[in-house]
Amino acid sequence: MGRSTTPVKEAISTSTLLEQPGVLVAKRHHLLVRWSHWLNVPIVLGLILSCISIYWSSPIYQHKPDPNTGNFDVAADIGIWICAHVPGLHRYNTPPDWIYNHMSLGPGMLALALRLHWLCTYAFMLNGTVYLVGLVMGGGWRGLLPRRTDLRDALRMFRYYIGFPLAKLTRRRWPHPSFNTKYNALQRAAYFSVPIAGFLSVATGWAIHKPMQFHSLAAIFGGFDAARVWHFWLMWVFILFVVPHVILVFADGWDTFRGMIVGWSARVERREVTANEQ
Amino acid sequence: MNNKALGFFGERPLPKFELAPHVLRRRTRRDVLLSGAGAVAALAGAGSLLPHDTLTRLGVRRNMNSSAKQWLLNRALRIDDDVAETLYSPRRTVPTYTKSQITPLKNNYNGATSGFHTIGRRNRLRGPIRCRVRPGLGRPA
Repeated sequence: MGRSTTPVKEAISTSTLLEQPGVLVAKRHHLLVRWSHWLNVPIVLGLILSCISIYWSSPIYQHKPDPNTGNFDVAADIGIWICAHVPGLHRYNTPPDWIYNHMSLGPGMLALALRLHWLCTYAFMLNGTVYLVGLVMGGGWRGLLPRRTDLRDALRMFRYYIGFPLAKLTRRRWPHPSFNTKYNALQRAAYFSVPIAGFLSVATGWAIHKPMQFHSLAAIFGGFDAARVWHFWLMWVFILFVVPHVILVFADGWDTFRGMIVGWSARVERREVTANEQ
Repeated sequence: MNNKALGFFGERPLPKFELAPHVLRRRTRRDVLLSGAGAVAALAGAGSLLPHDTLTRLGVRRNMNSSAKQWLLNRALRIDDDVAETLYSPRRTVPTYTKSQITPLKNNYNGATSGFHTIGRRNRLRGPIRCRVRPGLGRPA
């Protein structure tokens, strides 16, 4: 996501220092955090695909059965609508299955989807533990904690993102707000919320999976049916997080992407180090 | 600013160090290549776990059903069984319903989808089966 240090133009030394004797780098991400981050990609993808396949067998959002087709599933309606309105899809074989064919393992795969979902769930819980250990060992958890200035800083970032495309088009200078923290307020809000969403996904998942053993847990979420609704929308939290996350990482440049692979960033100011050393 | 002044929750400045450009380039190349290889392996591994029908729809014609895939998926099921067994309590019983509460069980599209009927299908159980028989409930049929 967006960088949180002073804009490159103002930086005294950045990755352009490659020509100079030494390159100053800052350690950003602990090894365990990086590993769990990348392992989450196939795990969460597997969870989402299998989740929608499981949803197919008993959709949460239903309406009265259609007198002609018998369909009661809102997701199937969306598929029918897409096939009817998107050019090139008019001849699609099974319009009610369009969503399931494109966003899940496929319709009619409950047993297979459940097996994959459980495998991914246990991997997700294990990976989440590794992430937390990495956060504690690297001290990265402190950078995720919300702070009093977050609302004001978040508005500054919103203003920056909203004005950025117009500034690019008009070739106007549009400086990135400067922060002396690892993440800006929007990043912090996102990175703080996602582990909580992960925890809630696991909790609601257990409430659905073992409603007898964890009936108290299901009761916290408003009962078995409500826990299903929570679980379903928490999946969307992940989807809605991942899309801008990936776009902003690519927009921010190679240093941010590389940082999650190698662990350090070359976007450091020498001035900052000198100040810290004094 | 020292750590004491920042407090327990205060964010510490990121540790910084200086590296020779060639060392930096070499380490970057090594880590990016290793991660790339890992990503390809993870993609292949995770992809092979997908059901056969899903892979066919994605254009994979090869049969990806292997004993390792079944072992891994069965292992997850077995762990899940162990969890269920650990959580078992004789004080909790499954809810019971009256006959009037029974509703017909239909699959999606109001039961209109075909190919998922169990009539005429024979299932075979394999492997060790663990079960608890509680006195007074009688022998399973």
